[in-house]
Amino acid sequence: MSAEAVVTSGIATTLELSTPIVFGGLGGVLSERSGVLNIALEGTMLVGAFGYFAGAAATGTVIGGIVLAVAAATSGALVLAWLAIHANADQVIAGMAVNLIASGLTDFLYQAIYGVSGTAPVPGMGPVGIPLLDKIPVVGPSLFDQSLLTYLALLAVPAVSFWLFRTRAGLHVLAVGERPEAADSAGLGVYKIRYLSVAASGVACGLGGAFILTQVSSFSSDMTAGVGYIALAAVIFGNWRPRGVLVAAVLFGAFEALQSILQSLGVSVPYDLLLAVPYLVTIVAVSGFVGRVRAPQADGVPYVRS
Amino acid sequence: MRELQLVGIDKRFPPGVRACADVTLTIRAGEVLAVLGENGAGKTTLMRIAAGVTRPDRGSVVKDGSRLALGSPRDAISHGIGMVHQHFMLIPRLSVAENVVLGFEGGSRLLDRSTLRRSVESFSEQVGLRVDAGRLVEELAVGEQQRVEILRALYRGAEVLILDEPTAVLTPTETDGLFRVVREMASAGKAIVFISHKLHEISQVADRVVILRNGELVAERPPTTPLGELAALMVGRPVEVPTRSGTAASESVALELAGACSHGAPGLDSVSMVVGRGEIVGVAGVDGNGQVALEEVLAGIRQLSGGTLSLVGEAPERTSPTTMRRLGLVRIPSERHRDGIVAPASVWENLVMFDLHRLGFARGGALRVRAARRRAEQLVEEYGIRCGSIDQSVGELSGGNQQKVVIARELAADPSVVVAAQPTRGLDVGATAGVHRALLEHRERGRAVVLISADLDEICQLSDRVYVMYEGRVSGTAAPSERERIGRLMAGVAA
Ligand SMILES: Nc1ncnc2c1ncn2[C@@H]1O[C@H](COP(=O)(O)OP(=O)(O)OP(=O)(O)O)[C@@H](O)[C@H]1O
Ligand SMILES: [Mg+2]
Repeated sequence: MSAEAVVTSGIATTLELSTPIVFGGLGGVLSERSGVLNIALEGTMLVGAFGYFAGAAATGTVIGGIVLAVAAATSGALVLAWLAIHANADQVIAGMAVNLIASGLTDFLYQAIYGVSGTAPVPGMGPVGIPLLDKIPVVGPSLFDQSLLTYLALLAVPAVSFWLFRTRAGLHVLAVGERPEAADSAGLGVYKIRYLSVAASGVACGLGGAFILTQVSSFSSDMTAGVGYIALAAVIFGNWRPRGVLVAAVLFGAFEALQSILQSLGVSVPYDLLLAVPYLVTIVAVSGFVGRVRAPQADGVPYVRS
Repeated sequence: MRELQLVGIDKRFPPGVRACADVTLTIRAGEVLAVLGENGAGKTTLMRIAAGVTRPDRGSVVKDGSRLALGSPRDAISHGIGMVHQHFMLIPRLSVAENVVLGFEGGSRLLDRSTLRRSVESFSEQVGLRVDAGRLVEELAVGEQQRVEILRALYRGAEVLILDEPTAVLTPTETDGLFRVVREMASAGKAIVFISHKLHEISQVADRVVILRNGELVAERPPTTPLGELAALMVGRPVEVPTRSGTAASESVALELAGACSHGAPGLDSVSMVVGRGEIVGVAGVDGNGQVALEEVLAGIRQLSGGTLSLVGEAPERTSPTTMRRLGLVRIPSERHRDGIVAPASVWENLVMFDLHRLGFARGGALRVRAARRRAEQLVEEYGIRCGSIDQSVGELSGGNQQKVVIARELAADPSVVVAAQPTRGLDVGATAGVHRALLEHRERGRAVVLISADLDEICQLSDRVYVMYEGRVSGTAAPSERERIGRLMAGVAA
């Protein structure tokens, strides 16, 4: 491979790998900024991936897949929301429960509906070049020749950021996630805001799951393979900010891309070690080496009105 | 609005605490109504009911003859009832302006921070409560935070303003400022409810005083009523105010700091002080002038970066809470909830937890529960701790009784030096008298007490000598009778 080709494919792979992390991470930010700790990103994305598969298989269309992905993941997120907001469950355990249920349920449904032999691949989403821009050398074919969902992820970052920090609704989410009793005494509906935020997180995870499935066009068990946990790491590394999540996602994506490029060049690297990189980087981040990260004050704390 | 009436308010909490018992009370426009009562008398509960935070079991809130349906704080706000809570309801990581307008942002869905900030600032000037609207609340001093709370209530259109122990955390100057604002608001026709444990404040600010005891309204008095009478009405029997007797007897030094420095904001800046046996040495100062650093240095939590600390003749190279405790120094911490008690643990566990080895309650790693409990029973008796049983968790006790648990535990070992930091903050007259009595008895026994307090009355009443701290330094020393001078030194004015 020429050096140019290596850089091009490196950037392209990085973006591709970052996309589900960005979606999951934005989901995590939305949920946790409202005070609901979201360990369930992994399971929610898995449900989203399965939803896409089922929707696309049933309708034969991409749109059908995306609609069902979002619907399924949002339902999954609402299970977490109910456990965390109304059942006052420990939110770490509730999140893990959702992940385990998602893993078992998607497996079961896949086997029950499509049988052991499975079914034909469903329509995926290939790269779509942006006219003119994709002709620019190096950045053209890497940045501007991606899946529509990747473009959406990149646009969602400033959009969520604006919504959270520049709108009235965003201020209410922040207030609820910092001090729900203060928000309550200001007349904000704490429970409603939390449910909506977690539902929004489900939408983001649904898109992330859909993206993972569109890359391969068929479902396999636990196919999110830890992306949801990496997204969780990106939330922390990104200091619960959408832009921070993007930086983290690209960083983590780049490490993975590097690994696959090295492998394709015949350099042997211990695969498992590279897989651990996002988590190591996150540990470094939270231990205060790179400035301080600080979780929303009421993250993970259920609100009980006295 | 002319008046707000609370009619026949009843409220019980599980397991069978009657926080309000058929209370009927009128709050009038243009007047400041002081509400007094012991810890746990039901002052906060009653006012939270008026503010829509808590729902009564029975009774109603009536404004100018019409009954209000208060389902939430928002309902109360819409009827012009605002409350500044004992523990502030601000969001530290949001700006002052955002906190003030939260939930009442008005028309636009978008937030324009600079417009927001300007409108909050101009409102704050209009009502005479200056704030810097752009700053984050977490950067503000307590007094400023309180201004933000009051400002917010006014911004929401409060005609009745309930202030729950507003002066507990304020400096003398800030308190004077608050009283001015309160009087102005009253003359502008607002109704103010003022809850406090500091009786002498009543005559300065109130028009009328009501007293609650065990959830019942037991008396109404004019603010000119002698303090002793008010205290007796609150407690149900006369309260003896313990006083210092005789002069400190000793020349021998128990504790000495020489040129002590420590990091922190503010830390200590070459602080020297001597504490003799048999005396109470007061350390006066407005909060945030190095008292926390002093407290932590003495307790062995914080290391000195310069100077020396010696305790009963020993000058440990590196200190730790364990070494200080072993040398006979104990602390009554200013952050009672964080450092003083383990809230979910039981009364008996809290009472013996530091003494397991000294008293032989832990043998070979196993706890001798029966002996430890017996000891705890004794302490409960001796210090008059009011609790259901020694198995009750300390977090459920009233503030005054929690502090009694701390004091009983710390003084039980008869330490040679006690560092008592803000020991009566938030406590009622009876509990305060109890704490003062315990400290004075300790002094009588020839032990030393370092009393770190922002409460000037407490300092003057108990201390043999007074050091004043300002910006991490000792700005002067004084006799306890020189109240004015101490006040000036606290404000950093050369005296
Ligand atoms: N949420 C609650 N759950 C159970 N008990 C409560 C609750 N709130 C208050 N109480 C109890 O009701 C009684 C009255 O409490 P309240 O806080 O109104 O007293 P207070 O007069 O404000 O005391 P303080 O001077 O210490 O602030 C106390 O016995 C308290 O323990
Ligand atoms: Mg109270």
